[in-house]
Amino acid sequence: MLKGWIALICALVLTAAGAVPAQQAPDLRSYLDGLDWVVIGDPGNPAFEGGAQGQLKGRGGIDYRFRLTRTEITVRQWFQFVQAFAPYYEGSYGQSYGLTGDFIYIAGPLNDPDSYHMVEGAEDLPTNLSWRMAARYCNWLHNNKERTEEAFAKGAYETSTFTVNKDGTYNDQRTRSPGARYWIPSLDEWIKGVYYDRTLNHGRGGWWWHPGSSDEPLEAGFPWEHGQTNGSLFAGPPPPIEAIEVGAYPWIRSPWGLLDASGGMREWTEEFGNINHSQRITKGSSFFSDDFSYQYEDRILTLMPSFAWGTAMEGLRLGSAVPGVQYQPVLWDDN
Amino acid sequence: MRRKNRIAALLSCLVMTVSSYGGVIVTDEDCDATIPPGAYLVVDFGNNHFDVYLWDLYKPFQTTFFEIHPTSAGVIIDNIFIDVTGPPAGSPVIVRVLPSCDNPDLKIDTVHNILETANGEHLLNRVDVDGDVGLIIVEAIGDVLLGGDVTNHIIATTPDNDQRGITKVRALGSIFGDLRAPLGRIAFIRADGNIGTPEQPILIEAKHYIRNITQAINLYADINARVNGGTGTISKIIVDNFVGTLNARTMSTTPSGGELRFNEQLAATITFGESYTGANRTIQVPVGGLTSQIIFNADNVGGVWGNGAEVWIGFNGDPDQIILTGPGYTNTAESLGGGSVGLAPFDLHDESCAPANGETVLLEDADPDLEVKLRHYGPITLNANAPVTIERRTACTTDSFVLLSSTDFDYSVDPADGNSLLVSGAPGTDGFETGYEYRLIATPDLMCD
Repeated sequence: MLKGWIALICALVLTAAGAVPAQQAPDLRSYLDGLDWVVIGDPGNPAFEGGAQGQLKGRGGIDYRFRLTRTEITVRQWFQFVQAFAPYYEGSYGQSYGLTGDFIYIAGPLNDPDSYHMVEGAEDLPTNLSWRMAARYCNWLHNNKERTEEAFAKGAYETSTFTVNKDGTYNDQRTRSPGARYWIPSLDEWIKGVYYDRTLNHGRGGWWWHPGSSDEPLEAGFPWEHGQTNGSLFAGPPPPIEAIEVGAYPWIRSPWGLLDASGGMREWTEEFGNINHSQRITKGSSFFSDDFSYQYEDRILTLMPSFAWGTAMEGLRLGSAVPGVQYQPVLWDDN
Repeated sequence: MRRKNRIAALLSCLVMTVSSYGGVIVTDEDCDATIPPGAYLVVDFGNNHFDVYLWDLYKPFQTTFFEIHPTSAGVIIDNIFIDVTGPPAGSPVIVRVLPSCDNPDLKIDTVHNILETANGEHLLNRVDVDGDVGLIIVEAIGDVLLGGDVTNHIIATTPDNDQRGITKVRALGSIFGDLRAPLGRIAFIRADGNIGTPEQPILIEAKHYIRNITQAINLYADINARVNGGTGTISKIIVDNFVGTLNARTMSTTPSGGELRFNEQLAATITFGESYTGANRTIQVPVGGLTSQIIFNADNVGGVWGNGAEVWIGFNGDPDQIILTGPGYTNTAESLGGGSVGLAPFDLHDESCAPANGETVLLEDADPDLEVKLRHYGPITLNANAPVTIERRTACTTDSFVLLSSTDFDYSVDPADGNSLLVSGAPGTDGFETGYEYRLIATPDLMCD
């Protein structure tokens, strides 16, 4: 039995009646991708009732099951992609920040995988990256990590759409392609994974306003000081690295078991953030957030657009189909 | 009559106490329109131009929010005056310039000025506009996200605070104004265009640190990460060209690593007051790209250079790459691009002297105009005294060296190269004569600049 991993048993139990969700795929290789997934269930859940002014009203109601990674993608996980993609990278050193983020550095030719190195000690921090690189990552995973140019170019997102028009509008694909096995979460998926609780309202389901199954903002502080989030801990001098690694606050989790929705990095969604589609919405605070803003950033209503390419500032929580749609997997966490 | 009432009387026909006026709405947090009457004023100048006055601390001992949203396209806000008087802490005023409440795609086009005009704890949390941003002077500045240019200065007036200042400026265009947090810190600066211009380089300064300056094509700036007696560091600068100066205590690393990378050329002076040491630190320029001076231990506090901290002239994989790993490197200045890397106090750069240290100069006739250049790893300065003693002995002998009169020679700093001491014969003297071996030894009057 692998310590710290979810052990999986597939039982031959047919799913309940209902339409097969469009995103599901039967490829069981998705169980073996090395990522820690949480299934977001309760298809057909009630949507968010919206803020006082109707913000996000009707969002978050999803009629299919899907998965989200329990934490943000780490530097270590991202590094595999960076090395694989390096030979196909066509940007300049100045533009490479969107690929490397803060915690991977380049020590040689851009197209040489061996040029890339993780900052020592940062391997288990959440990585940051551009949205377009996140899209390529999803393609690569979808294509089973093949190291071909095409494996990075299509599957979940057609990178041929990553173009700009003369009027300043962008053609980037809005949402994942049909049949995509991995994707950047939609805004609806993200908020359902973080804020929706099927046990609320006597089992009818309801919505929290803050991560960690709470309507009150989380308080920043080191884990060993009973803090609830590392949001804003890096607003000043660097904190101890143990405070900003993924999963540093295991007692703060969404109703589904997601960690680090507060703090870590802000997280990309598929939602466009502006009218010309150069921006995507991010959610959640970051350990770089200001002390006066991280709680605001954690709220369900707060949407933070960020430019989708170029230098990276944001992190990624992956979305995925639930493998084996015709089977009811029985999962347990041996922790 | 209080100032507010005078303005209200003069502009009474324009005062709106609820929500929308023209193309601008001011709300409480989350687009809540229940801000008390008189807490703010929007002035419509027509043609989509507005001023916004924020007046009242309407939630003392809590957080007072002012969110400014457009209600139509093309809104230009000429001025946002944060005129809310309050205590320095405990009753923060948070100001946000955000997209429309009804349509997140609809943003304000341009904001020319955001100014705090009263005392209080004023926090500009977020500015998200499609176009340009101009002058911002507020205590603490969070995220400034713009599709255009920064056309004027952005200044954080925070009292001494290592966690506040300017958090993020992300411009799709260029940055043309100073970025200053004289008692705070600056976290992230990014521009897809340029930062500064050759004619008007900008100031980037903070007391506690400057974290990342990235993405820009050209960086024309004087950067100081430790103004006002601070101990600030720099983490990353990744741009194509840097012209100007950088002053920091050292390069910080944990946990994101330290990197100064200039993809085309470094034509700026880099000064670290203390050591440059330890892994995860690099300064990188392309082959031949070091045209300026890098100085470590400029504060002369016993700092060191080494232990994994490197300076790369050329990137890995380039056959002409030169990696400098510590002081006393033997590569000539010319091979690096003309510049130098020096650990203060600077040693003589033997290989870049003319003649090189230990080299014999062949002269066919006595040349009283022979000039010796003693190049160092860093800039030097002189005073009225002789910077070197000069001795000589008959060439190819083991005779004792004889001290020569210092007045027989002239000494100057090379006007073309501040690292080099020029020594030549004084007028009316023989200067350097053939048949002799000369030994020049630095005196305490030869100083680092």
